[in-house]
Formats: sequence, C-alpha cells, structure tokens
Amino acid sequence: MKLGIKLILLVGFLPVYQLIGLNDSLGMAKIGFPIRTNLEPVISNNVSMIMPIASFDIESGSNAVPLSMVSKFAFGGYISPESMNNYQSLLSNSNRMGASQEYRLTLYPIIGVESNKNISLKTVELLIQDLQGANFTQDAFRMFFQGNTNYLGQTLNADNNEIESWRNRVLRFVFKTKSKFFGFSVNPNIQFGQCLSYTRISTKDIKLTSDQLGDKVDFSGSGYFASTGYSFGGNGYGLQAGLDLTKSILNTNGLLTNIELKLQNFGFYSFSDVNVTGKDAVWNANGEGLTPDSYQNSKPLNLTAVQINASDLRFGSWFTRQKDSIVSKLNLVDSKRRGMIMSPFTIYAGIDFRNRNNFNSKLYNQLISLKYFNVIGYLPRLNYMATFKGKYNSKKSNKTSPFFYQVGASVGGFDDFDINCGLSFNSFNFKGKPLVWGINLIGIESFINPSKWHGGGIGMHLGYQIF
Amino acid sequence: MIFKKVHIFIISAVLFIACSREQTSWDVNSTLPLFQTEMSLDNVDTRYLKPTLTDSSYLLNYENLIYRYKINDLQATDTGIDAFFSLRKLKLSDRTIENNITLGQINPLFKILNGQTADIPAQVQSNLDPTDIDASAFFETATLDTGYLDISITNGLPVNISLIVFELTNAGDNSVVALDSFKNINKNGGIATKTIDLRNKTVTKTLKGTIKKLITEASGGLVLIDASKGINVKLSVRNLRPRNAIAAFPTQNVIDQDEGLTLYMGGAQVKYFKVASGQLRIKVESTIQEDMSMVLSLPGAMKDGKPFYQELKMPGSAGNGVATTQQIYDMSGFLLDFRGKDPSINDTVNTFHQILRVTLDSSGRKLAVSLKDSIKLTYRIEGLKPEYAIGYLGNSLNRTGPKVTDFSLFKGLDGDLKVKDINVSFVLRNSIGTDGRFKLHSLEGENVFNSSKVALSANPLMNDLFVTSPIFQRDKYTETVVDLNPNNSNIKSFLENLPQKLNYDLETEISPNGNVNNYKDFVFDNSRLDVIMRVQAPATFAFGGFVLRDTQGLNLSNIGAMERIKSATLFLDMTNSFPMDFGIEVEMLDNQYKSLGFLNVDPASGILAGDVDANGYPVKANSSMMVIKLPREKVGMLKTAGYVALKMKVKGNGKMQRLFNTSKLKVKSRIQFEYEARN
Repeated sequence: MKLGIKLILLVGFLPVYQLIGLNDSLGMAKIGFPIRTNLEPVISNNVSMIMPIASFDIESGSNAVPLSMVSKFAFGGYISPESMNNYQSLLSNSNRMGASQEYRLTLYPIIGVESNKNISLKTVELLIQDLQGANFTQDAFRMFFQGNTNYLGQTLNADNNEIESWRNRVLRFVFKTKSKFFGFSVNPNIQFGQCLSYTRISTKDIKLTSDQLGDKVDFSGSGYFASTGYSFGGNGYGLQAGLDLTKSILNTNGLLTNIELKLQNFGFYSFSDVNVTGKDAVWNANGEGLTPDSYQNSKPLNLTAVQINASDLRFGSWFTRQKDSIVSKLNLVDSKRRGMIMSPFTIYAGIDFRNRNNFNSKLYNQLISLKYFNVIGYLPRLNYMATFKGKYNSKKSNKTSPFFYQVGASVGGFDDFDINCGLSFNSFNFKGKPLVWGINLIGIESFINPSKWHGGGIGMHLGYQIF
Repeated sequence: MIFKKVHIFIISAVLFIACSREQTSWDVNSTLPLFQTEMSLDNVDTRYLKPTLTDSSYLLNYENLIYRYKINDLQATDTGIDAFFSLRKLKLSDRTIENNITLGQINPLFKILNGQTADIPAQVQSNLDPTDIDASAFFETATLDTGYLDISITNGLPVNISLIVFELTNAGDNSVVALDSFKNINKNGGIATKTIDLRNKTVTKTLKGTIKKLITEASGGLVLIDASKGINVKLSVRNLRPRNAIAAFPTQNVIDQDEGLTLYMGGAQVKYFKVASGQLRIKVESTIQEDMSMVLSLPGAMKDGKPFYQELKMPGSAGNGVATTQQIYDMSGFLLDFRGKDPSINDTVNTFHQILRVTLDSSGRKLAVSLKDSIKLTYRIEGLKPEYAIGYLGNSLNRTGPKVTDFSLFKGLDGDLKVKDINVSFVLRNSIGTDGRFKLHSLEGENVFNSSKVALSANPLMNDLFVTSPIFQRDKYTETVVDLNPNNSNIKSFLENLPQKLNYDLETEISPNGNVNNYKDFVFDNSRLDVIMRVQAPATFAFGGFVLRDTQGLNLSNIGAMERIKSATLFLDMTNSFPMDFGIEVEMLDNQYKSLGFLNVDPASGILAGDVDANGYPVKANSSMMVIKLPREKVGMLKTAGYVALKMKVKGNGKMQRLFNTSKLKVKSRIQFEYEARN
C-alpha cells in the first residue's frame, strides 16, 4: 500500500471519529508520541527527533453531563426528549461542560531542518480550534433544553449561567533558539489568529415560573447574548504568543528527567462588529466593550393570555400577537459593539522521567502534568501517565518493531476524572525513516458507558522521525 | 513529489473536517398562554343585530350592498400657463437729453462781436467741430431691436437756418447713429424735429454731435450778436427694446394677466367647486439679475371669507446663473367660483378668474442683458379634487352586468335554517345631488355549497325606479324603498336558498331629464347611489344541522422558523352559555384551496350548550376543554397551508329559539408546542 493511500485512510478516520462522538482530553498533555507528548517538534533524549505532520485532538467533559450528550454538542446530532430528560436528572445545581477540538497541520517544514542560528523558524502551522464551555444550573438546562411543559406548576431557578464558544483559525510560527533560561531551552512562538465565530451568553438571576396549566408564565432575570455569527472571512483578528521551556536532566544513576513549561495561545482577539442583545444590561455608551458595565433592575415579565376582541380572533394571529407581546415585554435591546477579548490560552507544566539504565523494564517513562485552559467550565487538570514499551513482529518486513502504550488517569479539566490510554508506534517507512502515528483516548470509562460517565476525548497524531 | 500531493490532501481534509460539523438539535417543549376573549352577539355590528328594548333579545337588521354607483371622479384636469419672456419684451426707459451748440462754437468771430449789433450775411459752413453728448442717462450701451430717437433742433440764432445737416456718432468707433437734414428753421426759437429709427443700431453712452453742414440766411439788417445762443439739440429715445444692453432697467411688468382660466371637468359643467385637495404651483426661472415680484390673486377663490391673494418675491440670478423660485399653494378648502371673470356680464362654467402680475423690480444698477436672457414662468393648477361641486353633472347612462357580488348574510352557512317573520326590502340609497333612474334587469341568488340558483322575481322591480336628489348636505341621502314579500315576489324561496353570491344585471342613469335643475345639481366626494338588499327579522331561529363556515387566510411566515415546529396543541377552555352545542372542524387548505387534511379536535362532541330556562333565557354556562392537535405527522401542513377552513356546527333542539345578549362564549387558550432548537 502506497504511503499516500495509507495517509488517506488515516486522515479518513477523523470524520468517523467525529460522527461516533468520541472525544479526547489531553490538550497539552497528550501522549501520542513516545517519550513525551508535545505540540512542537522536540529532540528526544534517545537522539531521535519527531516532526509532527498533522494532529487532531478533541477533548470534552463535564462534571455532570454524560459523554453521550457532550459529544452531541461537540459533534452535532439530534438529542431526543427522552435522552434530554435523562441528562437533566443527572445534573446538580452547579454544572460544567465543555469541549475543544483542534486540527493542526504543519505547513513548513514537513521535515524539520536543523539550523545553527541563534534563532530559527522551526515550523509554520495551521490550526483550527473549536472551543465551547459552559457553567450552568440544572434549571437553566431544563429551561433551555426542555422547555417549561415538563415543569408546569414549578419554578425553574436558572440563576446565573455562562456560556462561550469560539471557532478560530490560527497561523502559528514556531521558533527554536539556542538561548537558555535557567537551563531551559527556549522555544517561542507567535501566531496570527482569525476568529471565525464567537458567541458569549451570560445570564443573571433567571427565573421562570409556570402555573399548573400554563395559563400564566412569569419570567425574570437579565443577561446578554453576544455573537459574531460565522463568517468565512472571520470577524475578529488577533495576535497571540507562546513560549515553550524544556529542560532535560540526566542523573548519574541513569534517571532522565524532562521538564516542560508551556504557555500557549496567550494574546487577544479584537472584534469590530459584534451583535449584542441585552436584557436589562447597561453598556458603555460609546460602543466599546463586549461585557456590560452592570445590570439595571430587571422587570419581571408576567405572561398571561392576551385579551383580544372577538373581532380580532383571526386564526394564525394569536401566536404572532403573543410572540410580539413577549418580545415587547422582554425589552431586549440590540446593538453593535466592538472590543477585545483575551484569547483562550493554555498554561502547562509537565515532568516525565525514566531510568535509562534499566533497558529491560517495560515501563518506559512516567509523566505528571498540570494544565490550565482559559475556557469557561475548565478546571486545572492534573494528569498522570505511564508509558510502556512493547514489541511486535512485522510480517511485511519480517522483523521486530517497538511500540509504546500508555495508561494513566487525570482529574479536573472539563471533567471530574478520566482514565486514559494511548498507543503509538512506528509503522510506515518513508525514505528510510519511520512515520510515527499514535492514538490516545481520554476518559475510556465514558466510552464504555457513555450514558453514565462524563467526558472523553481522542487524539490522533502523525509524525515523521527525522533522525 | 508524492509528499506534496499528500500535503495538499491533508490541508484539504483538515479544512473540510473543520467546516463540516453537524448542528446539534433538540426539542424544546413549551407551554404558553395565548389569548382570551369573550364572544357574544354584541360583537356583531349593531347595524346588523340590534338588541331589543323589551327583553334583550335581538333584531336582525342586515343590509347587503349589491351595487354601488359613483360619478366618475370629478376632477379638474391640470391646467396652467407657461409664459416665456425674453429680452425683446423688456423695455428701457424713455429719456431725453439736451445739448447746445453756441454761436461762438459755430464761428469764433461771433465771440468778438458778442453784445454788438451786426448785419450778418448769409453763410454756408461745413464740418463744424463735433460736440460731445453725454447719453449715459439712456444706458451704457445698447444694440436695439426696436426704438426711436427723436432729434429736435431749436434755432436760437438771430438768422433763419435754411439747412442743417446733423450727424450723431458713437464716440468710440465713430459709427453713425443718425444723420439727417433739418430745413427752414426760423430764427429765434424755430424748431425742427426728425425721428431716427434705431433698429439694429448700437448706441453708446458717449456720443458726438456734428453739424455737417449749416446754411443760414442773411439777417437783412442789424441784429444783436449773442455768442451764448446757438443751436439746441434735444435727443429723446423712446420705445427702446434692446437686443443686448448694459443698462438700468426700469420697473416694469413682465406679465400682466387678468382673465378667466377655463378648466376641463370631464363633461360636467360646474359653477362652484369646493376644493378637497389640490395645489397651485408657480415656478419662475430667470437669468436676469434683477429681482422680481409676483402678485397672484384669485378673486373667485374664497376661504374663510378671504379671496386667494399671494405676493411673492423672486430674487434675481447671480452672475450667469439661473434663479429659480418655486412656490406651491395648497388649495384645499377654497371654494372656487367657476362662473368666470365677471359673472354679471358673462356667466359661464368651469372658469375661474385669475390675476397674475409679475414685475421686474428696478434696482437702478446697470446690468448686462441679452437675448439669451429670459424669464420663464410656469403657473399650474394640479390635482384639483372637489369636496363638492355644484353645477350640471351631465347625463350619463351606465349598464352593469352580468356581474357577481357576495351576499354576506349567508356567507359560510349551510344546512337547515328557518327564519321567523322575515322582511326584505330593495333600497336605492342616493347621496348624489341629482335625479336618477334605476332599472333591475335580473338578480339571481346562488348557494355555492350546493350550486343551487334562484332568480328573484318581483313585480315592483320590473319597472324603472326613480331616485330623487337629497338636500345639499354631506352624507345626506334619499331612499327609494321597494318592499318585497311573498305576495309580490318569490323572496322567501330566494332567501331560503341561503345564497352566498348574487348575480345581477342592472342599469343606472344620472340626470335622465337633462339640466332640469338649472346648474343646481351637486356631488360630494363620497356621493353615490347604493343598491341594497335589506333584511330585517327577529333573531329567533330554528337550527338543525346548521353550519357556519369561515375560511381565513393563514400567514404563518411572520412567526419565523416554522419548519422547526414539530408538533403543536391548542387548548381552548370554552365556557358556553348559548343554548346550543357547537362542534368544531378545522381543515387546512393550500393556496389553491385544496385540502391538506383535518386537525384532530377533541372531544368530537364539541362545546356543550349552556343551560336555559323555560323561556330560553340562559341561566348557566357549561365548560368544555377543546383540544386541537397538530401532531408531528401533520405539522408539515403548516408549511404549505395558505388557508384554514373553520366549520362550526350549530346543534339546536330543532325548535325556534331566541338569542339573548347575556349568552356568551368565553374562550381562554394556551398552546403547547415542540420546537426544534439548534446549536
């Protein structure tokens, strides 16, 4: 099978995984490649360098909503009313939910070129990032995802909720320097971002009371909805930077420790045309800023049957009349605004270690990492991952090849906890060097029982071993 | 190479994947209150259903308009004056200047002899020195289209002049303005005058007068020599019409009209016209730099006791530009006397007296004008519509038919309905201020549900009916009423056919006898002749399988995102005190009125009747919950529905029942719907 066809098959898996709703976690802590998981090409300490070609990572999670629902929000699809009712029963008063997807393609160079300059351009990468995050209450979920019919005779205290969604296109330039900072190798990057769509929803003290029959509905609360909508050319432009600090320490007893500190996507997006709909929100009068200064006292909306004259009793006008009445009473104010928003950045710290003297051990290395992702609904995520080395016999080449598999667990992130695993091996040779690919799964407990457990994720990576 | 291909593929694949996320969707099931209302027969227009004073029951009083005749819109055709005024019509002032040529100037020898007496011999002198003549009082310069110069020479000499040849030239180029001979001018004050035609001549302000030849007779004795006396030359210009000029134009009327302006009224001969709407537009475009003023007076146009009178100042143009002044006067409310300029002399029609005077206001400045300069005045009466008009409206005959009109009394009704003590009248209601004639050729009632047709046969309608003029007051009318009953017509069978359509063929004539009212016919803007069928009956009915139908347009497009509604249920909480049950059927129709299916209405038994006492008076209302369902499998109907057909089956007890205004049907509704939300 030719290399191209193999790649096609590999990449072809991506939409399949989307459709079946598998997710990944990981972000910076992904473990797709042997030794360490990194977004940038690194020189491994066993003197081989892996240059990433393309990767696809998905991470989703929630402290309450099971994977089967989160995956619907991440990848789309229809959620039946029965499923929705089951989901709401699992919620607590305070819930988190989120998902991120990232597609990355190395544009230049595919094969890394070493340079002896003090600073050199290492790679140019194209990334597409989808991020969604939410902090919400159980009653908000009921109100927005189910409606009030199931809750007639009750009050839904939706209270305060925050939701955000991003779709960004990023062109990233990764540099390698020869500088050292407290012994750390310094690899900065700078990127130009283009926000294809951005949405932010915020509510405050939302409450909905329906009487037993639905003849009277009371609504109160305030909030706003800001959105750029989707535009192919993008609406906001931004500039971000990142820094990757790595350091390897080899002890005399053969213990090799790699430390990595990383700041990624740190910067801003500037929006010039954001559609904002606010209820009782007080905005800066000059149109600057995408969050309200404050909220004024919210007038409760008491909805009862509209009194009409019999002569006005025209079929088809009833709904419109009531709809107009609701819209009028809601007192929604539309406006166009502009402003800057901090980009959804990531902070990562990881340490992995292995004993180089113990060649016969199946345990290859161990990784402990901590990651923070600046997205609503994401908590700092602590991850542990052990990598084991194995061998398999290749029938084609009739020789034994190594592969790596990982197991581990993490707490935090979009999720409460995840049990994770991964697999990577060198399979396809190209000009005498192996193509390395890996797959890792996050939250495998959720794949086993997606209706019960929460987040999950998947990462797929393709790289090329340069030397 | 292969890597490049792979690379391109991966780019494409990643971009594709990134853009192909499926939408998340789920169903939101919401319940909202919709409307509440109360229906009683009080909601019916009281013109049709009047409560009786005796027992709160109703009297049905229904009028159905069969035909309406209006005089074709009486409107004055836009009329006006377009005046183009060029420089040829501009006048320069008539002016006179005088100049003396003294004896000393003629011959310096006489200066020496001044004060002495001498015997002067006959003399002949030629080409005397020219004398400067300041003509700046006339203009700076002018090339004249027409005009005259009168040269008057007075002989102040003590000798007779046999001949004087006088030449007038422009000082600048010595071009000759005038050259003429004056003969036999008596001494001591004799005068000779010549008129010079200045057509096509250019005259400047600096002239030179030259005596080309002077022949004087001998004095015949001693005469006193006075060197200061001589020949007086008086130059008078008149009737100057310049072709181009730099001059100070005098104040003068550019337009001066005082006459009647006749409007075309579409065949009517109108004496008085009260304007409901319309305007008078005046537009003046002038290239002349002088200001102008306009006076417009319409002595026959009165409003609030005052005639129309307007003065308008129109500034002159600046430089070589065009000054445009436009003024629009609202004429609404004016009563126009259309009898002409002076009705006592010539009492005419459709003509109003107008006085228009446009005056060029002299500033005294000397301005350049030429034939290119013009004044264009547009004066126009536009869109003049009457509130009323008085005069002779003309004789007009109008045959209409066969045509079809709705008969709304039985609109949507089918089944078995008996009406007690019904009275039917044929009414001709005329608010046009003239006599008229009406002839019904045929009238046929059609029940569209069973295609049954019954032609009206009525003896009183076989002949011409005449209508008379109402009094001169808005909304007043006369009625010519023909009562129809079973003895003089088949009106009973005609009505029991429950017609929803009327097919008619009829004829109307205005002023059938000509101008018999001597220009005193009138018409208001809402005047008309209505042909009406009037039905009056006590509201006591017997219902048996009686069906009320209604088809209403259904415009759900303004609800938005209709395709996302997956199901809907309308709950109608009905409280009925009418003494009859109601069953409801709801059918959805497409835009071609084809059935898309029925909605599920539950319970099928419908709305329960209220309880009544022995006299049929309502004593207790009964409640029913009607549920109209649009399940998922039928929700597609909403997308294609253009109409909804409602059928309310009225189920009486088969006996005559009276309806009272205390009977009500209270409706309170809410809707439950499943809506597909998307992310």
